[in-house]
Amino acid sequence: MASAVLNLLNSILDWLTVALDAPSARAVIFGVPIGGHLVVEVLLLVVILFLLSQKSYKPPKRPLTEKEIDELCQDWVPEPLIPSITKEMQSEPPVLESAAGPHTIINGKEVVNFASANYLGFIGHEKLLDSCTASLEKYGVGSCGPRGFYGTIDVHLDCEARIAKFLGTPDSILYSYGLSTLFSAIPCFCKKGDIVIVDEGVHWGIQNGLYLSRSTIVYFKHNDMESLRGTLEKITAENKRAKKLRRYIVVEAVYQNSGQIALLDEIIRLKEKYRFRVLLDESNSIGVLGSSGRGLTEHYGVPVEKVDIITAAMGHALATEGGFCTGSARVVDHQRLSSSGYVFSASLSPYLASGAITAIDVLEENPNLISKLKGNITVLWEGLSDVQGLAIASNQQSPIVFLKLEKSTGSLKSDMRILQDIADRMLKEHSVLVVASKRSTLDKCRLPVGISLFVSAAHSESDLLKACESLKRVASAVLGKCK
Amino acid sequence: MIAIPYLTALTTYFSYGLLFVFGQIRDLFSKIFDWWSSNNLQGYAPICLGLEDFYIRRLYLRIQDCFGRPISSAPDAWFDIVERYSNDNNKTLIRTSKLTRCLNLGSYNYLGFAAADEYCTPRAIQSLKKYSASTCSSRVYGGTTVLHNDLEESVAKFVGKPAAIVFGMGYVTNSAILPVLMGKGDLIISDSLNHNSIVNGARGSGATIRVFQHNTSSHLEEVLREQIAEGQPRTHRPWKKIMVIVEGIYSMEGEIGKLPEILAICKKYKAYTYLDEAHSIGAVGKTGRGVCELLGVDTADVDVMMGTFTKSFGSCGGYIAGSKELIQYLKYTCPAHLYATSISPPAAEQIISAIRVILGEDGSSRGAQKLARIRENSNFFRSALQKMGFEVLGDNDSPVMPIMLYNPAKIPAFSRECLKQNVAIVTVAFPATPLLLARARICISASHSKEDLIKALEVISRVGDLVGIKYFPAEPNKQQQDGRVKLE
Amino acid sequence: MYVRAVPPTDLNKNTEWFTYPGVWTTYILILFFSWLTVLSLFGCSPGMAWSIVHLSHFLVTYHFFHWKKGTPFSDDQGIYNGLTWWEQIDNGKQLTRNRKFLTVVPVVLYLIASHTTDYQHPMLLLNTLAVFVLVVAKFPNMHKVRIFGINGEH
Repeated sequence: MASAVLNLLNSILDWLTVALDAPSARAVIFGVPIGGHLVVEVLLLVVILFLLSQKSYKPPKRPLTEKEIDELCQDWVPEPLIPSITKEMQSEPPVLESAAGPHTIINGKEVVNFASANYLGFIGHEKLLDSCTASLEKYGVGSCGPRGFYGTIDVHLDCEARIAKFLGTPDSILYSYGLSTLFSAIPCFCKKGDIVIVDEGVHWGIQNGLYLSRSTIVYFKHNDMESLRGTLEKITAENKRAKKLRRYIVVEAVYQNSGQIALLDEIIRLKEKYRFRVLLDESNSIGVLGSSGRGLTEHYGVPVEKVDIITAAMGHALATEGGFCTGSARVVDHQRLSSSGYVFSASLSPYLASGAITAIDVLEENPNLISKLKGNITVLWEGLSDVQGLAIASNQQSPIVFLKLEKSTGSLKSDMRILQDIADRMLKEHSVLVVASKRSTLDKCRLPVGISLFVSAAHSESDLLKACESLKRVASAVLGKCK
Repeated sequence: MIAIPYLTALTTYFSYGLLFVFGQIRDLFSKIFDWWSSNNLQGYAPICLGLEDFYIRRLYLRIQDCFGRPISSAPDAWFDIVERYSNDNNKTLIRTSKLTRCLNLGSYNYLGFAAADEYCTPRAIQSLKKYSASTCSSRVYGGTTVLHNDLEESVAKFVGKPAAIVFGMGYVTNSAILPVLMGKGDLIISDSLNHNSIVNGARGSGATIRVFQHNTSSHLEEVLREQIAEGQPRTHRPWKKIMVIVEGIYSMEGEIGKLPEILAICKKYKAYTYLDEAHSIGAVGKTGRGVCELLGVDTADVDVMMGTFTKSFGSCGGYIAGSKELIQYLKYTCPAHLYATSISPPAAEQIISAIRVILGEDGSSRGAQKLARIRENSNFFRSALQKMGFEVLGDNDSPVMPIMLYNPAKIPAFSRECLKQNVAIVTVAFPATPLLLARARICISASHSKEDLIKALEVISRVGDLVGIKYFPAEPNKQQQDGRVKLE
Repeated sequence: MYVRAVPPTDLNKNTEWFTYPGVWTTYILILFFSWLTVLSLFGCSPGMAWSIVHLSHFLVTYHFFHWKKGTPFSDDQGIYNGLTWWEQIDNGKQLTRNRKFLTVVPVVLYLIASHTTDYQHPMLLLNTLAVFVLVVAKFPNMHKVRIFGINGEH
């Protein structure tokens, strides 16, 4: 019995040896004949090495039973969808009863409007209204489709060409909303790993675009070129691979949050030194800065090609809606296929595109509008330079005159309350509509809040003086009392 | 669920494989040529990375003429397409001044408000003259006119919620609201075929995102159970809140969301619901109030209702409707409300007037007629296409109906042949749809007359024969076919 | 013959296409047809042809599955930049059906190639090396592992 078992075992072993030897029986590597046993030994060695390379771990826990999951689901209590409503959340904005021109009607009273970024006074402009009306009659109100699917209307193409011609760039691309321009354009060019250096005062559209882009974001001090230089130097020195990555500097021409003007000449110098690309948001400078309204590049006499990507909302000086992005043909073409806000959204209403074309035409025909605007800015700026308790924080040429509290209370909320009080009184007592900054809880901008006045070429001298006079009075009443 | 002929699936993969191989070879050559010019970059990294847009360069550009065709009239039932030509194999298209009158089966003009309307257009023009084209200011500063408040009121009333807030762009509505409502420690459970604006909004919110199988409530339940049991990844703390995001009508599928089942599950697991009615508001339901009305769902069960005005109302912008507190909170903190230019007054007026027409408040029955018309048109067209043997996706009553094409070569073939016979059709392919599931999409409008539809059917049938996309046998065998599909 | 397709929950367009029916068949058919092509073009022995198919399969799949990182789509913002196609598939879940299929294919190809070349050198050695590298690269333990930092940097 025992011998039979032994025989069987032997024959199995023999067979195994033959089987193992068979594939490599004649194999010779570097003069060493490969036998079956060698294969087994190597295999064992591999197993040992593999075992040694493993990390120790606890055996996995028992999975939850259905019943336990049921209980967990039952016990789970979600937070409310929104926090409870406090009193400050209930404030109602002023309601306009007529067009938002330099003079408008609120609560049946005529007020001077400093809340609309109607820089060139194009709201209610005869020619714009005519072209919008004609376009509205021909094309209807909406475009009823994204650009790819029959939402491209010939006026869109005309408008893109007109903008490009006006700014002297090869091509431009239209977006259907000012806010979406930036948060679609930025993720197009900045991806994970790319480096973006941003001014800390940029508005939420840019912040959101940067967040969506997933790139590495580094902030520099608001409009501080020393800080920008330091950041660039540090990034370039620290990151050896930085040379291979795409690198951008993102700035606003006129900062919505402070009225400061970006120092483009210095930025261009730094950009060329450190080989960064510049992305410039000209929302508040197109039609305002430069002798013919071509924006910040004209203002500084910088050739427009030096700025790689320019974006702007058309809801300001051009008095329509939507936004555009312009730059080299490569930049524009890339967005046409990969910009989510362009590809996946219905296109701009055709009448707004027509309006933009006409606005640029009118601007080119009347360069005196810009000099008028500049005069108005100077008048207001000088008139407001000695308001009690408020200090001008904006640039002397910025169409947004921005006044911040001389002495902040230390908390954003109470600052905002005081400023809102000033704005409310201005409207109620003096019939002047000015704006107190509002900050969304999502906004990461930490610049001080303040009162903004959007100057228009359509404001008359008396409007400006009235605004200065009443702001002085209200400020001394409100802030004098505070002390 | 889509039934694909097996052989077609194989040939489709094979075609894409071939396109891929040729693309790679062309890329290889262009890389060699680019190597010479790369020195011109002077230390900048290239602005567009080569790998990123492979499909655009090697697949899309070949058939670029099928997309973005410019038009030169209102996107009504018939419109003028501007002819284009190309001298460099579709790399660039040059616009001519020649126009072709085509039947429009592509625009989202569900109720026919895109063209001049006897009631809406004069009012829109009037408000243009009164309020100008823009307020140049955000809603909280000086951008709220009487019109904006009226609009919010009438939208809230129309969708059946206590309050509403409107924005100037539908895309922004989704992508700016979600970050306000959701944040770190929250969970968003999204339908796998949700629109890009939702995806972007969810990404922008910083919340964790999970996906459930398109329109499948059982999978949603599975995901919810798993997530609630597990909690946040790594830390295993319980989720702060969970939001389920679904759409009313899925624009690429034509399917109507299975709202009652999904809402029941959300209720059971205490998840908040967000319903995107971009394509369904105004287009479906007895009085045009969207999927909730169509499926008999109480709007109170949906926490956040979102929709756009670009489609049925022939305007632009979007809305969020919800409880008074929700809207108040959004008005306090939503960046699109605080910083973006308010919706253009004529567009707002167009929406108000369109809603009046739909509700019959203009003193006529045109709204009811339009709604009856779009339902009839859609159901007639869909059943006719199915009878011909096309694979048509989507549910009854939905005005969106995709016809499956599958093979990549059939995409331009179908689009170009239809255009030759004056029917303008939208084709969609990878990467906007799954690789295998290229399709042509038809959007039916209330402004299509019976003759228009019959002409369209004739053309599509002819082209369908030519291109070979009638994947099912025509009507008489249809039922038998269905049986066979079930067996497999 | 019809198959049913259910949209998968994979949001990565780079790997999503692999989850639909018909992919495996296409994969096998392409291998078979490339064998026929090699056979008729080079006029070599069937075994040699299988070896050539196996080795080129190794080169192509190694390049596209295990070497090249990221996706050819820009809208995912580069979140997959550090991952190879193999690491992206099925959201990184291990030992899924697709992964098993992709592991079995080179092994079967190896067996066919080795058997038809009669376990002769030098083909056997090359085939063995190829299959070894491919199979090791597909081990669950090798997920996101870069041995000696090979192909490690972005």
